[in-house]
Amino acid sequence: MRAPDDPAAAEWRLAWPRQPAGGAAGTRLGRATGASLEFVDSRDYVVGDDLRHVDWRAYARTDQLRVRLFREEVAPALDIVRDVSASMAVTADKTAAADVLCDAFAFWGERGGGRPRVYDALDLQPATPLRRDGVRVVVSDFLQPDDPAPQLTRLAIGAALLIVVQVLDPWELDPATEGATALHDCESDARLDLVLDAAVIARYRGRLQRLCASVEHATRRVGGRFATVAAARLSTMCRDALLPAGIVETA
Amino acid sequence: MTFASPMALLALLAVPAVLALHLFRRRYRPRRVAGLFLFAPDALVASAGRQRTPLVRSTSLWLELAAAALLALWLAGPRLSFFGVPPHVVIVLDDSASMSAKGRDGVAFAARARDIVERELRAAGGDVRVTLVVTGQRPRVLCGPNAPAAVASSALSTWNPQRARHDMAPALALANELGGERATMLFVTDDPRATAPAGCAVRSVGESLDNAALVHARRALHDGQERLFVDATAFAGSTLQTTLTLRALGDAKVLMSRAIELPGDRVARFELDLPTGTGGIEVTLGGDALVIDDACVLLAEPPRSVGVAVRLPAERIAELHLGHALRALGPAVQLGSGEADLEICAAPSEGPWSVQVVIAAGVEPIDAWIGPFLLERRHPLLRGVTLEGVIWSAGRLGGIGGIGGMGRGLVFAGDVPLLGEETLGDQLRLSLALQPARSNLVTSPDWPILLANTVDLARARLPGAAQVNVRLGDAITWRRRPSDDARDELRLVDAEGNATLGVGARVVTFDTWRAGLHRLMRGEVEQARFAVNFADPRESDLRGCGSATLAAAPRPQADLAAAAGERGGVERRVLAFLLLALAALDWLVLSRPRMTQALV
Repeated sequence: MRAPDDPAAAEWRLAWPRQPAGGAAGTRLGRATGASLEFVDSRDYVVGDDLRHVDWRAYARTDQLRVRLFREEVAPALDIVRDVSASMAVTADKTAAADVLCDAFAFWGERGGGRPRVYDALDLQPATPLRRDGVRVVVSDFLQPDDPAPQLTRLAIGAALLIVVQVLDPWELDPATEGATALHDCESDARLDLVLDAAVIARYRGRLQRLCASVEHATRRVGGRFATVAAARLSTMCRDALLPAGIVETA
Repeated sequence: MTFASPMALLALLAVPAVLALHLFRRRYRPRRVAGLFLFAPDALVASAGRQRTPLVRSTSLWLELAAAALLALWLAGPRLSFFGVPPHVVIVLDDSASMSAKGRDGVAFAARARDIVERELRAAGGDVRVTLVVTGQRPRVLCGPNAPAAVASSALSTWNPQRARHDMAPALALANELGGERATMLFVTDDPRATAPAGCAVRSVGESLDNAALVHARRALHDGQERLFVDATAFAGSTLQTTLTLRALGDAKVLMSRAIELPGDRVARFELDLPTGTGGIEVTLGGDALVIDDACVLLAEPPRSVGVAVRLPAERIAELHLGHALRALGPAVQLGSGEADLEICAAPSEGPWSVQVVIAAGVEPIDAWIGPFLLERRHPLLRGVTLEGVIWSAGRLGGIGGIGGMGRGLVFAGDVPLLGEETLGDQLRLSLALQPARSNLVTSPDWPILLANTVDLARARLPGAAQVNVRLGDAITWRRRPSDDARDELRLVDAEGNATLGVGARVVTFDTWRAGLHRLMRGEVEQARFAVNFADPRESDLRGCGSATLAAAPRPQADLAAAAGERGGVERRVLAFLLLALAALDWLVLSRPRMTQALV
């Protein structure tokens, strides 16, 4: 198992869903019966059952062949969708935070018995199909004027769990009053001249909160988990945002 | 760029205006953002007023400053020598007093001259350059050289001709030098016979007029009674009737006024006894064409008697007949034994005297000469002295002492100096080698003349004014007291308040430009008063004045009218092109950021 880019990742682990939908044979208990040590049920023997699972004690008492069923162990898929649009590179801190998060999720997935895979996607549309029944993590800023619900619904189809992490630069979360400012959009190169005063910033904050709420709402609607993080050190992001949102837990 | 081109001066205000715009302009700090749509509804929100921000030396700032400066330059109408020569008009103004005479229409000749000059300048165009020269023995540049027309008009208003008759040639020569070959030259006078050098037109604005004038006036003591002598003349073909008035200066009290008849071209003398203690007086004639020669101010001359001390043995005084000779000079001499202005002694000595005469026999060998004597006739001491028939017996002058080898000989017998002078700072020492017992000099007519000249020399060295009644054009001289600081500034202030600085250290001289009372000021303290009077019969005679026009011979390169159209044109076109280029460049610089896609 590889070492994470940020050593702080070792202090945390991914809060896996209680019963992952499925996956290749692995170390995590699956939803179906399998070869783990966890007893689930018993049933009558049918031809073809593994004789090692015949409950011989019950046969001795009842003279009926019963087979002990155990929970299967799977290695769930962990698909990490990383938004690589220009908006994620608006500041070095934001880019670094997204990279660290993706790397940490991959580390946590690998350490948790999963099979992590990172997908770089523009507009949250990976070039290759995502794996079914896996856990999907979306790392993006969702700073787009369109409604995020369709995208998130599409990402949630076939997934056991959708985790949405909205990464924002600290200035994007809390801009300062800077007076006359020429804002250049990093994606469209459009320019907007305005005076960044308290009133403008207050209105901006309101709009941002509504945007974040819409992303969260869309995530909750598909049964996912959502957190908004300010670009910072991994430990800070985990403690302040991912842990309260139930996305990670202490190792 | 002067007040003659006020638009250019106003345009210069564009420079600080551009600076102010850049100081207070709103500068947008660039910032890259990801969610521009979150700000979009607040686009172009105006804040509550602008604040001064640090000046950014941007390309736009420099371009706009350069454009503002060029605009001012363009309005000023600059000219470069290689693009053309501006029209240059040189006008010579006759500054003689007759130009201030008034014609029958009540307009002074000088006013007519001003009108002509103004018309000439208007005809030459707005960018004409003017040089005004005023005639005189020492011609004066009234305006210019190459002054704008507005400046010339202003200077012209101060012109007030009052000079005595003088030669016009120096002024015309000066004008020719200042104007060069390209300038248009005009000589404005009242003499219809006046001529001018080639290339110079002549306009005569005079008018033949009769005129009565005071040609001479003086106050003199006769037998203890002060008497006024006035000479007046009618410059006319017939007798003129006028009024002679005498006023006291202090209270303007009329001391005498009577109607008089002045025969044509003849001097009429009027004499009048003045009351004892009469101060300054003003003598006037009735008004006529020329006012300046109708008035004369005579101040009471201050007493300038010379203190004389004779420090010789009694028998020597008798041999030299000094008593008789000095007493003959009357009240001009105050004999005494104390400190004196003139000291006559047998050996050189130090003292507060201004002139010392050392009379001694001289050293051996003693000879006697009967002439011919060599005299320095230009020296004031020897004015009127001939030494004809004089037998002069004396030793050698060098042995008298004082002069030694440093003095200057004034009278020689062959190569032997008999009379010499030596200047010792402000003091003058005369050394006379003479054995009166063996000479007949003291009994000759030259002796009292020599003594009188010596007293005059001493009087000329008295501190103060040599005379307080001065003829216009003559210099006023003022000798400082020995105790005065030569660095103190002396000013001569005329009746209109115009001040002239004196020239000289111990003896300060002032040129007189205007008639009337003048005050000599040291700082704010009045030192003396002077009366400057006009007296020149040649100028008072206005019968020779008249009007005439004498065209100037054309000069091949003087096609100034054609050149006037081109003058400044190239420069202005170049400046206009530069202005447009700067404006376009500035627009490009400023519009570059705006070329980005506008946010909808």
